[in-house]
Amino acid sequence: MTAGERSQVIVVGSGAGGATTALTLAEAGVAVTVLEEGPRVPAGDYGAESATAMQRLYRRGGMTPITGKVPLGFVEGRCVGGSTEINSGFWHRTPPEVLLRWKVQYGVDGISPAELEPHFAWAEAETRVSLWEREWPRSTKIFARGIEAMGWSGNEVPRTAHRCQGTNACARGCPTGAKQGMSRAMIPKAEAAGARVIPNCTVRMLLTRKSRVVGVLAELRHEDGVRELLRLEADHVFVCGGPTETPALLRRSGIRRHVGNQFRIHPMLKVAALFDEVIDAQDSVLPLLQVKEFWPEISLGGAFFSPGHLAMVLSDNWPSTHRYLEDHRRMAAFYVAVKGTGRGWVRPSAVGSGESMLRYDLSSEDLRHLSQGLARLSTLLLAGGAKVVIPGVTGLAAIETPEEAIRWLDELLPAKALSLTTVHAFSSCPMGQRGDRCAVDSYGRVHGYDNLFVNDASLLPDSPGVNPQGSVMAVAHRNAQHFLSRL
Amino acid sequence: MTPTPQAPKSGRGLKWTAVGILVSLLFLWLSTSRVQWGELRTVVANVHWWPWIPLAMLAYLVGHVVRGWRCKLIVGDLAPISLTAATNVVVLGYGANNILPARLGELARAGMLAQRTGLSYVQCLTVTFLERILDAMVILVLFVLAASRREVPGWMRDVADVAAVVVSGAALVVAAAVLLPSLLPRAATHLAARLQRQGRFVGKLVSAAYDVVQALAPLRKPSRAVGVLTLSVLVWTFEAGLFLAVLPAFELAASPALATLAMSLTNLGILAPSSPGFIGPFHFFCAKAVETSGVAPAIALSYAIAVHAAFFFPITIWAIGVIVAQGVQLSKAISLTRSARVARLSELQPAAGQVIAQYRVAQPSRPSDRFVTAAVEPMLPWHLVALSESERATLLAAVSEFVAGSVAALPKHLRWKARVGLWGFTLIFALTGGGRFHRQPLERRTRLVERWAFGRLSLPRQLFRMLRGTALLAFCDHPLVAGKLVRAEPGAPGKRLTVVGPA
Repeated sequence: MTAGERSQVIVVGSGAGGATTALTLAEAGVAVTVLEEGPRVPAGDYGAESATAMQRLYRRGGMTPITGKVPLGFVEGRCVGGSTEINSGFWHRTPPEVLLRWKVQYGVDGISPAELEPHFAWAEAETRVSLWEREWPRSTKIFARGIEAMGWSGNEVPRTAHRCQGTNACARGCPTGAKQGMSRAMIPKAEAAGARVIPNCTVRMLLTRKSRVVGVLAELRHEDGVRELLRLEADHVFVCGGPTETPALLRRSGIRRHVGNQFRIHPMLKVAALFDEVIDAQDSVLPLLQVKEFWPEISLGGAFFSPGHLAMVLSDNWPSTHRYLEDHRRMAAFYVAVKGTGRGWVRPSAVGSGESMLRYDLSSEDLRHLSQGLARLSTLLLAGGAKVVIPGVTGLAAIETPEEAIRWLDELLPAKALSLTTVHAFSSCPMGQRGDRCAVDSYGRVHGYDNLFVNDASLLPDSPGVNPQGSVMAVAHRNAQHFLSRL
Repeated sequence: MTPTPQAPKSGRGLKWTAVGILVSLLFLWLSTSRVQWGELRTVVANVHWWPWIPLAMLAYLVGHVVRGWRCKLIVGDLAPISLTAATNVVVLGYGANNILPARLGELARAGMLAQRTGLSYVQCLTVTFLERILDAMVILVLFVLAASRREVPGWMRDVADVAAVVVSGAALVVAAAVLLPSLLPRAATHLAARLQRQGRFVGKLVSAAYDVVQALAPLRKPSRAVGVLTLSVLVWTFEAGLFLAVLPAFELAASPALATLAMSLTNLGILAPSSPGFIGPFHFFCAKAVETSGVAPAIALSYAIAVHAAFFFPITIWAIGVIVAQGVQLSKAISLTRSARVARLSELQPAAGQVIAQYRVAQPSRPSDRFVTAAVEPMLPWHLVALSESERATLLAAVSEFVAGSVAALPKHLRWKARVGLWGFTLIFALTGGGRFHRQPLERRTRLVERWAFGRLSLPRQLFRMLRGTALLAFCDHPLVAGKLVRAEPGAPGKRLTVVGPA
């Protein structure tokens, strides 16, 4: 491509939605340019220790703060491949009742399970979704023991990690190439089909004229610190920057209708559990099971584990919990995730350099579900042989008996004492035909614009209640194909 | 590459020069109409040149070094520039104004700054404009202060009022660009859209808006803004020193208020278009200011001539020296490009679109490394791992770097809260007799950090919780620690930290 040459399509972002869009369009012969804000990290640099990996692969070098009544930390990727490079790879299809709700409440067309089936199948083939093929690691067995003891429904969740080697490096970039993040699964194929991927390129603004986007204003960062402001023109623009950056970019460009007003997440509370036996969770894949007994409100599962991540959980009550650090070989980490019924928003910062400001107010329902979830997870782990369960709650150093755990079924955890995180965010640009609540139509076209589309997690109308990568990729593929049919 | 700024068309330039010369002649006539030449010759012949005129020149020259310091402070985050280079740039601008008409020296200064730093021409013009706004604000304040101490005619206050209106408007635009950086580019985009323009016009307008915002970005740091303002006050203090030093040469009382009045009124007066060197307006306004103390017109005018000489000659000579030594071509002054950048561009990945600007941006400020290291060290479980001295130092540096980077990576609206919290901690510690926090022994720092981290106050607890979690993550997963955090005897109770204060 030469300077000044026009793209047919610009795709902003190379995560689950952006990579799916780029590959689908490129394979159909469309001239695609992908602008990715983060760097392209070589596969050889994956799997570095936590601090280095976070600085390379994560937005803000680790965690993006979400302000609100209870502050949360949002973990997302910022690199070629986006959050798919650092997530667990757990794969779910959107539950049918969720799809029905989207159809009824948001007026989304063409969203039935049957209509999405070929798109899920495509995405699962591209990312080689599969179950664990070997004997479960000890952390998974322990979790299974607890699930069986409680008589709850739980199952192994497939992952986008065919032939996973169990290096436990998912959160630091998979060094073996087993996990099919977008940088491995789709971006190379998109480039082979003619797509051009430009990393270190931040789109600052969409250039619009009346009801059309004419191009973007992008800032390209070079290694020596020089930045170039580029004007790139295109016939169509797909904004796939994720649930925080997509609405910020749209609003910064003057596109505000139902954009960024509805920010949903899955709030998550982590616990660490100590067992009598050696588990060595830091040397194996995270627990592969999820408990769906209390779905959709509450989901229980296993979390990434390393001494550092353990220390973060222990740090809330450090004077009394630091001693457990030495026992990390007999410990594992788990989480309570809730559906998230609170309200939030995304706005571009007016003061500063256009950063995104995120807010989410935990609802009373969220708090109740977190409390109940902690009670259930703790009893499960204790039933599975845990000696102590240490939650990320300041002032609640340890749960050692089922009686101590069960109180949280009825009592509410102190909201201000919670250390909450989330790795799932969506709904900031909801899709659907309802003009009174949707930012984009059923296929991602921004209302009021002919050639501007959103195609990432931000268009999921509300919480899917499951890991969202599957939903994002299937919907993105569907939307991209719909675009091609009308090109 | 940024389009090369174009020289003004010669027809317009000649008209502007002619207007300036006419204005100069008018003010010269106003200055001299009430003065007898014989009287003037007598006064000049009796002037006590030494040591006052050299002192005045020295004060003025030092003021230019301070101007250079200010320029370096504004530009330093965007591009490296030495104090010498920054001072030469400033001197070139002032000297060129003494030689070229219509304040073309400002454009020459921006051009030289672009050449020395690699910043775009628009960014450099923005820096020049910012300095001028700051100068005008300081001059106005000094005028008001001086006029409050003396009887001044109403027309002088009117001059200041007009200048205040203009300066206030410009200052508001600057403040908006500093505090609301997305405002200008958005306004530029909307304006271009409303005008139904497309193509290069939109690009130029928006890129200029971005250049302005980037040039002003360093002022978003409060410490930087305060520093720039302080230096601006210092600049005009030295310039008032020039006017003050010449007073005794004419056996006039060395009144700081009179000197400040003369300095401020003269500089407000020379905003009017005039000949190179501001001949005419300079003399008129300077003389009028001195006459407010009852001095005869001939003495006042002689004083103005002497001050102008001290103002004109040293800087003009210095500027000529800069031109000769550095090969700046005045005839092409306003079309100076970043010749060093052209070579670099070819090494860069070819852009996928139309490049409309190049610049550097200031990195977000980080908390002091010394403080972070001192605060983080007590948080870490050193007793759990056996490390050599060098390993400990390496590990501590790595952890501190990660924590400082995490604070710097916070969104701006949270970063300032974290910074205020950290400053508050060190300030309170210092004020309560503790001295410098980072100089305290580890044991004392440990007690202090734990008292704040687990104390009754919520804000410090939140701040230290963030720091502690980040530090522990980096510590425990560091290669020097991984694999060493294992209890020697499984089942044995662990060691306990000594905690002072509420757990």
